[in-house]
Order: sequence, then structure tokens, then C-alpha cells
Amino acid sequence: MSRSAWEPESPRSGFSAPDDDVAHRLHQLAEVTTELGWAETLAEVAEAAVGHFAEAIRAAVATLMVRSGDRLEMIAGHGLQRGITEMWGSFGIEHANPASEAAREGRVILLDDVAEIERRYPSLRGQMPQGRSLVNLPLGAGPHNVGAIGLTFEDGWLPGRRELAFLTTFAEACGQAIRRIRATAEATQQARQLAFLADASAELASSLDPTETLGRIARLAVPDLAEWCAVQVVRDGALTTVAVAHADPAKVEWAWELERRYPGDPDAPAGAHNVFRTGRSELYADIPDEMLVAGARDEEHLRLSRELHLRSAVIVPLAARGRILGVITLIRGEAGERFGPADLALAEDLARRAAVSMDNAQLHNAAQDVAVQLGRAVLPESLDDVPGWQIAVHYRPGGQAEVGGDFYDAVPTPEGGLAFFVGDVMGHGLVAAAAMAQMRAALRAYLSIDPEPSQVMTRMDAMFANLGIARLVSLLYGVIGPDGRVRLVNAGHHRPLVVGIDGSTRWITSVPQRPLGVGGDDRVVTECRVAADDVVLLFTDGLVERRDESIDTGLARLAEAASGLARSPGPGALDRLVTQVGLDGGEDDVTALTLRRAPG
Amino acid sequence: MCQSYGVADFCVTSERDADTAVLALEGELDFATLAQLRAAADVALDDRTVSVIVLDLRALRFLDSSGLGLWVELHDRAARCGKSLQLRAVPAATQRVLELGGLASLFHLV
Repeated sequence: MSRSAWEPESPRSGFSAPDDDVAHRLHQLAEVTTELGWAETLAEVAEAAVGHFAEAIRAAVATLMVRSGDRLEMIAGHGLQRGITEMWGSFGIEHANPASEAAREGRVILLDDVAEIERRYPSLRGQMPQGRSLVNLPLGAGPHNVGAIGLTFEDGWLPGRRELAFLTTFAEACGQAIRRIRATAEATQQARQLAFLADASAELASSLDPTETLGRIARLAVPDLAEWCAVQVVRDGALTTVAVAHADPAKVEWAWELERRYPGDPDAPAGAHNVFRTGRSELYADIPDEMLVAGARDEEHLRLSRELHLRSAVIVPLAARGRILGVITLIRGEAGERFGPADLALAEDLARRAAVSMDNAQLHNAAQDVAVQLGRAVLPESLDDVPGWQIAVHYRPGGQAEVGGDFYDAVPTPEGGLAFFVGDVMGHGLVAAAAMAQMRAALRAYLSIDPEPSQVMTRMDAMFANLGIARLVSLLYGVIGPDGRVRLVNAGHHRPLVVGIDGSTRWITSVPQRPLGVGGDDRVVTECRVAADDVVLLFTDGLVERRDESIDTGLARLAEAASGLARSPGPGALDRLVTQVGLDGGEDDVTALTLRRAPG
Repeated sequence: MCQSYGVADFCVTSERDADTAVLALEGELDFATLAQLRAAADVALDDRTVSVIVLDLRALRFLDSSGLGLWVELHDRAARCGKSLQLRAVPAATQRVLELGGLASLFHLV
């Protein structure tokens, strides 16, 4: 029953195509996959996945389901009958249905018999018209799975081997895009926090007037988080108000006045002093009048307190490394909403950040986390097992606050060979890190149409020209056949090193070519051969570049140390090599990749 | 005049000779210091009486890929406003970085 969509002899179906349409269809699909690389929102991923993709493969129904905890949420659907969206809007990952199964088990589900489908998934009974086939693709495998794409086809079509490879690549690119978008959002958020911390630290370090600095922290909270914010810190052992911000500037004086005339009681069982003593936050969703009465020193104090029209309050400690430096009090007036647990969490976060900003040592750790997090989200930690090949990878994102732009991958070709690439988006920061994800997605899409280096590079150059990408990207892209024939293009990247079984090393030298993003270069494919037991080593700047020496010295050191890879090309040996030649705590990304044909 | 921006490892000195702006780079050009070169180059690129911008590399001790990226950016911007960008006194180590990076043919070396 299964038929191939792109072969001319296939009978007419929703997915069949005449011969001259095949290339066009492949391009259309590659374009959609590339589109994913540039998606910046989930809506754009959804548009590509159930809009353009479904159209290109002529699916009757296409749905995109994204994992959220232990549930799958349908975030987009195409061709659905009325009522289905409501029924399948959100369901458990353990539920017996093809999407949950694909996401849960990380495998493709292909079924073309409605009776069989209904037997396996009773919840689908009566929902599948006769003759339909069903294809469910996981968005990434294992811990990286973020959901599934569900497709049905009107005439019972199922993909052949080649088409399935393409669909899987597409689904993986979808998963990549979603993970990248989530990680970028988180990293952007963290970067914003880091910027806040860095600013606050700089201010605290440089300002001769810490009161002014704490005043800025108070003003951060107003009016978004609270109507009124007061910051108190320890001065000479006593909790002292150093900053007050109010949405109504006229009330600021009022608040100061109250504080001056009625300083808090250090032994009070609740309130700022209690938070200071215990280090535990307090949340008052409602401030009843009885509380004002209880806290008032005299009639005048009570009258002034009532005039503040307090409704709800949160008091959080300024704690850094186990020390309580002070407290932040946030208050909403009658016009505001009650504080809830989410507000408390936010206030604690603000206080933590403010407190930590006095502690520079923690800055670098946080910055490192951003780099690691984004790198892990978009790069494979280990490459898939490819039958017939031994592949090892070592990737370490750069240090400091500078997220680097290394990217890499190795993918089997239909002929039993291996397509591989290593590259470096020049520059640092989140933009470079996002660009590396785009490069990887585009390369994977293009190489699945045709892995031939000249084709892939032509498409990459065209992409840079068409999209006007101003960023400079070095890229080594190549293919090794099962016979050891290597064809590669080197666009401004380091040459690969070949290590023979006897420990000898040689560089695969090619005509120097410009990086992507410069333009004006014809791509030249370099050809050579490697022996069955040769190890091919690919790497980036971070492995060989040192400030106090010529690059040739670094390359020579690598070549000498790499002879050790000859006998054991596994991950352990690669890690040792990186430790041996790499810089401890260097600021650049370090990427190294070894490829060898598996023995036998 | 050395326009130091408080980073000790790198310094750009701007000089003017007729229609040529010479930016002498001293020290280590990398992600942390490239803002200094960009600031100095912006002045020269904005100056209509400048037609040639020379990066004097005699005292450049280190160049990383982000510095290289900035040179390409300056090369493109100079070309767009009808100026030329030249590299002068390129140290052997920098020459190697340009060659390995496939960029030796892009720049005008004097």
C-alpha cells in the first residue's frame, strides 16, 4: 500500500508528483526546513510545520503538539474537523494515542490501516475516515524530545525510506527550533538579569553614595511590581531605611515622615525587623485594619497609617551568601491587586538579585551558565550512532559572559558515507549563539537534498546573499564516502588533520576560501582519500589559538599531540587531547570532532 | 594621541595625513577590545575628507576571529562610502591568520 511520493511511477495521489516536480518539491521542503532555522517564535515554527510543510507534502491533516511537563498541547492544526481541536487540545504524554507514543518513545509511527489504528488507539475510534494513513514524528529523541508532529494522508500514503529521512530531519529541525526559541528566551531573560547585575555591581562599586544605588533598586520595583517600595539595610547594626519609592512622588515624603517619627520595633514579631532577623519572607495578601491598629504606637500613627490606604504587602530579605544585608518591603494600595505567591517569588528574585549584585563573584558563574545552556540546547552533546562510523565529539562553550558561536554535526548520507561540518560564527554574544543554531539547521536541510559539497556551499552562499547576513561564519563542510574518498570545501576554517594508524599526521590542505558572509569567492572542492583506519580530526580556534604565539605553533602542537588518537579514537582520547593542548579556562569555545570508519 | 578606553591591552592611535587616516593598532585586538577600534574607525568613516583608511598593524600582537570580523565589516563599510581600507605593516602572525581564514585576498595590503 505504501508508495513513494517523488518517484514518477507512483500512482496519482495527494502526495505524488510528476518527474519534473520532484526537484521542486524537495526544494520547497528544504526551504521550509531552512525557514525553521530562522523562526524566532513558536507561532513561526507552527506556521512552518503545519502550514508550509503540510502543504508541501500534501497532508490532509497536520498538527503540531508541544510538550509541557507531562502533557502535550496542540499549538497548531491544519485540516482538522470541527471539534477535534477541543478534543485534542491537551492530553497526557502517557495517553494511548500516536502523538503521545511518538513523543514518549522518540520514534516514528507509521500506520496505513484504519482498523489497525483504531485497535491500537481506541481513543481515535470513529475519527479517522476510511483509507487514511497516519504518520507521527517525534520532535527530537530522549530527554531532548519537545513534542510531535501528527500527519494524516487521504489515500493511505506512507513515506518511503528517502522521504522518511527527510520527514525525520524536518521534525528534528522543528524540535531544534523550539528548543532554541525556549533557550534563547531563557538566555535573553538571564542576560537581562546579568546586565542588571553588572550595572548594579558597577554602580555599587563606583558610587560614593550607596543610598542612591539602593534608590534605583527601589525604583525598579515601582510601579510594575508595587505601588510603594522601601529598602532597609543594616547600618551600624540597626535596620535603617535608605530608599523609598512611590508611584505617587508626593507620597514619598509622607512615607519618610512616618518612618522618622515611628521607627520600627526591632523585636516586633512580624514585619521588616522580623524578616531581617529570620531571613524568611512575609506575604500579607490583605492588610486588615486590625493589623494597623495592632502596629500603631498612638492615635496619630494609626491615622497616618490609614491615610496610606494599604491593601497588600510583601517583605523579603536581602540575602547574599547566608548573610542578611537588609529587607525590601513592597506595598500595594487600595487600587492595586492583592499580592500572591507569584508576586512573592518575583519580589524574592528582585531582592536576591539586588543582594547578589553586591557580590561580584557570582556574576561569572551565572554568565557561564547562559553560554552552556544555549550551547546545549542547539548542539548535540553526542552525535547519533551512525552505523559504519566511529564519531567522537568534545564541545565546551567559552567562558566569561561571552557566548561563542561554534557549531558542528555529522550525518549519514544515503550512500553509506558521512556528511560532516564544523564552523564558527565570528563574534560572541547571544546573537552569535542564535546564528550558530541557524547555520546548523540550514546545513542539515541543504545536505538532506544533496550532500555534495559544491551544492551545499552554493546554497549557503546564496542564503547569506539573499538574507543579507552581515555576520562572518567560517565553515568546513565535507563528505567522506564509505570508500574513504573525501570531498570538502573549506570556507575560512581550520584544515582537518588526518592521523594515520602509525601515529603519523597530515593536513588536508585546500585552496584558501573566504568565510561565508564575505562573498565574491568561487567555491573549490578539494578531494583526497583517507585509509580505512585513518582518524579525521576537525576543530575550531579555541583548540589551537593562544595569544602569545603564532597560530602555526598551536597547529604544530595539535598535530604532535594528535598522534595519540591513532589507536583509540574514542571520546576519552579526544577529551585527553583537548586537555593536553587546550587552554585551561580559555575564553573561546572549544570544539573537536573525530571521524573514522568502524573496523570490519 | 592615544585613545585609550581604559583597557590596558589594546590601544588605537589616530593620525591624519592629507586624505589618509592612519589608525595604529597596538596590543591585542579581540572581542573585549574591538569597540575601541570601531569607535576610532567610525570617526574616519564619517569624515568626508578621508578617502583612505590605513590600519597600521606594526604593533599588533594578537588578533582573534571577532577582530577579523570587524576588519571585514570596516572593509565593506569603507567600500560603500567610496573609501579604501588598507592594512599596513602586517605582522607575519597576522598574515597567517588572514591566509588560513581565506581573507588574504580581500584586503589591500601595503
